Amino acid sequence: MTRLSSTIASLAVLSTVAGCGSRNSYWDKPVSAVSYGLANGVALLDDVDHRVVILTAQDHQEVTTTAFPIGHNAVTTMTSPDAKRLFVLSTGDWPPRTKDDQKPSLTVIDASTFDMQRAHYEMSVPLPNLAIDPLGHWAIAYAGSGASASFVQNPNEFVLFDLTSPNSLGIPRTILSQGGTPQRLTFTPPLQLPNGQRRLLIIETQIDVTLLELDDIKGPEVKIPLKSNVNAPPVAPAGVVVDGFDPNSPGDARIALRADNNRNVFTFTLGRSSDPNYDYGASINEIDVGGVPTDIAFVRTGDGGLRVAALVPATTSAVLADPDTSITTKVALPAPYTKLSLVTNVVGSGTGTDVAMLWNSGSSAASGVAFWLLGNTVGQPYFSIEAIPVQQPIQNVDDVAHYEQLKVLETQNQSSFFVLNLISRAVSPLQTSGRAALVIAPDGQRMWAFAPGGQDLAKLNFSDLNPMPVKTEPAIDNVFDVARATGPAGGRSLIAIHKVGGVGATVFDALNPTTADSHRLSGLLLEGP
Amino acid sequence: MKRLAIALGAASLLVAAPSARAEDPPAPETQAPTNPALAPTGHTNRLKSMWRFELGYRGSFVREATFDPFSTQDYFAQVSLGGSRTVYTRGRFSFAPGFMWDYGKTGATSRGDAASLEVHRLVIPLEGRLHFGAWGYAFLRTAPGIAEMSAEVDDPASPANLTKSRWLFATDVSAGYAYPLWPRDNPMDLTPRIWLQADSGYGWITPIGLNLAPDLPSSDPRIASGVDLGSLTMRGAFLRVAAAISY
Repeated sequence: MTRLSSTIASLAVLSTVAGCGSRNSYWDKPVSAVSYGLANGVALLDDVDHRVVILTAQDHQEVTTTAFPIGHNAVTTMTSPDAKRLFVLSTGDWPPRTKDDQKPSLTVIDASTFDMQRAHYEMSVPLPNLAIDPLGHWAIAYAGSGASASFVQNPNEFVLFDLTSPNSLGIPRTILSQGGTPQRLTFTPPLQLPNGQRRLLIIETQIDVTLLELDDIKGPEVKIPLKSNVNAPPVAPAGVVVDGFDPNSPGDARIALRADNNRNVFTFTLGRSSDPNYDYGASINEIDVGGVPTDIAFVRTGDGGLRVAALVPATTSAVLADPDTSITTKVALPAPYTKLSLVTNVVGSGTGTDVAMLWNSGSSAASGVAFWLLGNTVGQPYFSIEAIPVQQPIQNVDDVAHYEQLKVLETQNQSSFFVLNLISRAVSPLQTSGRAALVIAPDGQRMWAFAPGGQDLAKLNFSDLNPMPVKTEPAIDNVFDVARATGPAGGRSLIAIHKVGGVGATVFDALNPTTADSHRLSGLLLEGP
Repeated sequence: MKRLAIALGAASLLVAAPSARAEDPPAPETQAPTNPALAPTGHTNRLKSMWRFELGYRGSFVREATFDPFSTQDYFAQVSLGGSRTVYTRGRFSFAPGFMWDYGKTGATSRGDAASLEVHRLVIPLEGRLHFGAWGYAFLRTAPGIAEMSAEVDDPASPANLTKSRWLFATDVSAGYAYPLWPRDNPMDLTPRIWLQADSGYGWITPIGLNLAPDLPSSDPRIASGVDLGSLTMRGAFLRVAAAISY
């Protein structure tokens, strides 16, 4: 029997070893998905399986899934500002060891229609950061801050992708360095330059600014140093704003820049260059605003002039600076506001002067919001501020698509929020029993409040702000209000994502959500490669 | 299990029925041997005409991608239990139908979810044998039958385990050899004998669509759907080793 047993055992072991074909390693790794809202669906990034799965809402709370391959090792994923495109930047299999290893690449999924398309752009070096052109023409991969994507990296190199030429090769470019490396990239609208309308790429480094023409990315670069002499402390750019879109006003293109460590606002007027090698040049102007500004904008004031508005919370004031003469007008504020956005199109007077909304982000003080009527400011600055109290410190201000008169004020404690009507100046408070996150529907009709990691969800129509609560069984990671591909026109679904197991979702009718009619999906990323 | 018991019972009846029509008569002590070389005159050769019951191990190689969620290897282990009865002999050849039950279950953690696959295979082995006296016999076996496949995935996002179970057509074709271990002498004695055998072949079960659905009671008002893992065909080469007892 010993011989029998050993024979059977040997055969069993032999056959087991012979059958040890391994499965795809994809199965051995738990799901770690991140969800993104798109114009016509929800994207689930499944980096382990090198794919993006798009959920498309159908009639009757049904959902279809479509998988698109992406490059290996995704490092940055972003949506375009209009949510019609998803961008996935991948480092590939770097450094390559075999001829089959993937190159670094950018995958773009066009979700502007329900017939989604994928484009793939390869590049020669892995870069971890991505900047997206708000007009949809360009995307740029760059090194930026953070960890290097390879053993040796040129931090001044970036790769430009022409999104109007699908599947093309990225165009590499290295800018000259005087010690800084690109930290932030800004795509301008068309500017009226001496040689015609051009779009520029503004590259902020730690110490200076570089301008490049987007349509001639290999062309000469205009470098603008930000300190007047070598002994001056370096100026660290913290953001730019651009003006000069009027084709009838050649030479009015201007850029304003603020810094994290400097009380000046820097303005650059783009005009003809004295150097024949350049089509345009930049004349720099430094304007002292009395303190480090936290936000700036180009505004039109009552005297018809162009000014740079700067918020200086250190002096609880705002400053209007003439970019040509450097003359400033200081406006005392009721609170040290740190953020500014123009709401002229909603509450403007029709005289061409701007109205700005001010609020304080990141402060523990309940500073409320204020309207800054720039038509009055230059002559009568003390008449120009209208404050509206809000009971909680504001964390963020959200726009409502298609209803620009409405703003949603998110508070720091996340247990209450406010809907502000810019025209009536009414501030409607809404409270939640716990920490809540807000999602505003892209059609602007409603918003959703949900408890991240909880089961509570509520719809609020902007028309009546009447909460309609529903519940899910698994914990909610995120929610998305999306259009349906089928069914009656205007139908929308609310897809609540559950990041448990193979990723699940609960789908509601966004217009009339009820728990009883909800549809629960599971294992969305469990299906094989 | 009720379905399994019914199936086993039906298979037993199938095996029992042909024995009445066997060329070897039911009273072996009075039967004339069909092959004098194998059996002395006036006795039945119990190495050739016999009831056999076997218990073994079966390993199947399944290289289907849709098998991956349920196993970390392309391999499916089963236990085999079966019986047969010689119903016809001629010269060195004999024929023995029987029944066989193969059972196996495999599981794996797939993308964080526990997944399992269970297979009951009930077949009617139809076995032709070529005898070599005290050295046993070689055999060729075809085994049509049915199989119940049950797949299950425990996904926390689902209100209940995702399951699917189906009865499917199954068949095996294999060839092998059976060797009498003990006792090898006195083939006419009506004493139990122990055999060692092995066979190898190809097994196949018709495809099952792995569109798993939450296992909710029909009264549950929740609307839920599951996951589609594709279509799985359990097919591939297999190897089986078994110990058998005959009399």
